Amino acid sequence: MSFASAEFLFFGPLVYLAYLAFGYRRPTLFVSLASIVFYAYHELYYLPLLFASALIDFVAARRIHEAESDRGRKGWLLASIAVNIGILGFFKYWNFAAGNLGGAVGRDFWIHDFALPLGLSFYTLQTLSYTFDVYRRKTVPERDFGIYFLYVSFFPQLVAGPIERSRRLLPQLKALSRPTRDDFARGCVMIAWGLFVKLAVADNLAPLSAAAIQQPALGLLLWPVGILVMFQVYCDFMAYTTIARGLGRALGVELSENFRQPIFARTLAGFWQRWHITLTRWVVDYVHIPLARRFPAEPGRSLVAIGALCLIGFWHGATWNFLLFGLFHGICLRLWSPVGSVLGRALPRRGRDIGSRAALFAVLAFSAPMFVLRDLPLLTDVLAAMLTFAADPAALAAAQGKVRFLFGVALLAIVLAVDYLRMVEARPFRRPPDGREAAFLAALLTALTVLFGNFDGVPFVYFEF
Amino acid sequence: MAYRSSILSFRLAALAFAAWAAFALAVAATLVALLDPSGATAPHRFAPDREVEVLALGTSHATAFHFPSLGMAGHSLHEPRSDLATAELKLRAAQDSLPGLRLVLLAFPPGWLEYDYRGLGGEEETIERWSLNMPFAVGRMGPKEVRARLFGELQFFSRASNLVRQRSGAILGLGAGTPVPEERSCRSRPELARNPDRFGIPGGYLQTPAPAECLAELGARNSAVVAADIDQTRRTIPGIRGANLARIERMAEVARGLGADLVMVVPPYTPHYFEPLARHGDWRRQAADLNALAGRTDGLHFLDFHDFFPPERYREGNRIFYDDNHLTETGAAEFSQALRRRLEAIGLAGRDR
Repeated sequence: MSFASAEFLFFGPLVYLAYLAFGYRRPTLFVSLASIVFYAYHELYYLPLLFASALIDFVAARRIHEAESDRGRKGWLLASIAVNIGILGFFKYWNFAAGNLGGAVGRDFWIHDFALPLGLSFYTLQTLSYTFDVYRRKTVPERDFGIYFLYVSFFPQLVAGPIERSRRLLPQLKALSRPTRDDFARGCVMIAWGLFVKLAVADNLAPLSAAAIQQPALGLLLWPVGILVMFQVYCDFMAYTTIARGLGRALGVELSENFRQPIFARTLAGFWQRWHITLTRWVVDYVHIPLARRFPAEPGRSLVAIGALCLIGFWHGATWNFLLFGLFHGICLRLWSPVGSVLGRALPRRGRDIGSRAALFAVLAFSAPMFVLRDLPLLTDVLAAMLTFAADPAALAAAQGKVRFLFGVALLAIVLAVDYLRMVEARPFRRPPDGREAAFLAALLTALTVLFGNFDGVPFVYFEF
Repeated sequence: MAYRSSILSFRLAALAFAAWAAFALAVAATLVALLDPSGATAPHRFAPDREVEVLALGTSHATAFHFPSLGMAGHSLHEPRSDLATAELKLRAAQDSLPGLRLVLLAFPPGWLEYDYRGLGGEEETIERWSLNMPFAVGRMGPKEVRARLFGELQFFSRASNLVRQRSGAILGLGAGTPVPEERSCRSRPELARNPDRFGIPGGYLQTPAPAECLAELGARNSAVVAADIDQTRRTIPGIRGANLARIERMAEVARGLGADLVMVVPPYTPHYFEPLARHGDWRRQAADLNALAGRTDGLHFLDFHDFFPPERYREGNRIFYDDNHLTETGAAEFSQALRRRLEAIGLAGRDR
């Protein structure tokens, strides 16, 4: 169920109150059951898959830990990788591969048409990271399957992350107990902030920006539209993560930060260090660094870096546009330093800074259609239109959804201002709010959400990944 | 510091949640009371502003029913969603608001017996929207409809927010947007603005006919998309054809209860759209099944107009088809006059009925 749905308005408080009333006596069991209900409400059929995925890595990690030979350790690791990637490949990538291969050789390789199990891309990476860490002896395997299952299925982050590491989350889940007032206050403010960013900002920007990005006739205007699409995706996903972190916080669990003011990054590398941090770190730690050590010289080094971004792109979905998105970002990332140093010589320091930020926004604007348009002919038309000098604002001026859009843009300024103040660690953000401040903030954000929110049920962007 | 270390009590959390919910509801209620004291803009309620004689259901092809040309006051409920399951739901939901109903027209494209949105996702939204129109009689509603009805009442927030949006738009001088007549190419794009409603047809008619030379390409592309949807429905909902035939029978029964006839109409298409789907969906057999069903069911009729417009009418200077499978207002008016004559011939239209 979605955090911004009517169902969750009932589910969240009910679970929380039941936890305070009796659940805290058996916290692992209670939160696991709540997580199962949360997941099964949307996808009952795929619940066994969640169990199976957890069980496989629980067993594999124990076997890796107990194996006496390197061969045995490696065998269990490969078995875990094969099963996890196999499940992910079967559900997410098979039809893409089969469709393209079938088209090339004139045969039908179609074998299923199942929907992508909710959260599969997220919890597969989480379970794999656990097995990798046990294999690398960075952590010891968990003995209690109940705790481990909760690590995989913890409902605040089950469906769309953050992708947690076992070393960070497992100890917190083991120590679950009755939360403090401080946890509750901070959690509520984060949830209210997340709902505000989702309903009043992202969902107000969504209708117009999603329609406008599909209009090649807009020509050059597609550049600002691309930036708005990127802001909308940022607000949507940041809101989800904030609500997830707020729910975790209210239970006394600190989930990882997934965004650190990416809009204020100066370079593309800086952007990726601040955008979907838990995914980027996963790919860097388990794919990029091991491969970069193996191929330290050019061109291997560059190919590995580009490949890592392609992997991040392709993780989002089994379509060519995501692969193109990753490839474009990978190439830009590798070219950033050499091109930047050449161009930078001609500019003063202040100019270099402005130029770098402008270049970052240009890359983000140009790649925005690659992130949202899965229809390749349309994507090609839109990208080609962005490279022309034509611009027809008539279609945009006549568009519907302008009022919502204006609300979204105006309220986006609040989000960016808060991001900026958090980045510079302004005084109000140096300490968590106390009870009264939390109540005031939650009330203010709730009022703004009710006033300006879009309640048409726009789904979270990252739910479909 | 004492505050930070203290454990949260059940009572405090319950009070906080209650206060939060009450505050949110109070804000929404105040807005609704201030901006719409008469309740005139309650959303998702099917309340036609006049007595409806003919109700159009089915796919977007239902825009082929041009009510003025049919000589009847009509209302179209073809959007959102356009499968038979949704059409049945809408008919059940709307029945209490249709005291003067005479005809239910069901736009029936080829292959439609094997088409179902439940196989393609997005069921809840439609159920939620339409079940809001139903009397809250659990006996007449499935479990999903009951659930949707319960949660659908939370549209209260949506109503408050829409009122703020409408009022702000009026103050800022920003309307709902008007579509710009587009220069049509063979690659159709989603339109940024929605057309205004026309005599009970939501979204009215799309304005600019596609160039004649594009109809073949559009037909190939659009029929392939629908064929893929049909394939997916076949895989995910086995027995869909039989289930849909039974559904039509139930719809005819509901229509009879309202004193109306149910007429399944295949509207005009270009052969570029119709032929591939007719082959793919085994249309000859489907049409035979529909004819047989109409023959044995009281108040149910089946009329096929798929080749009503001969290709020479639109081969050059097309004015009839918006694209390969939708009529322009000109095309819909001409077709509806012919449909009216046919309906009169079988005693379903005209003053003497």
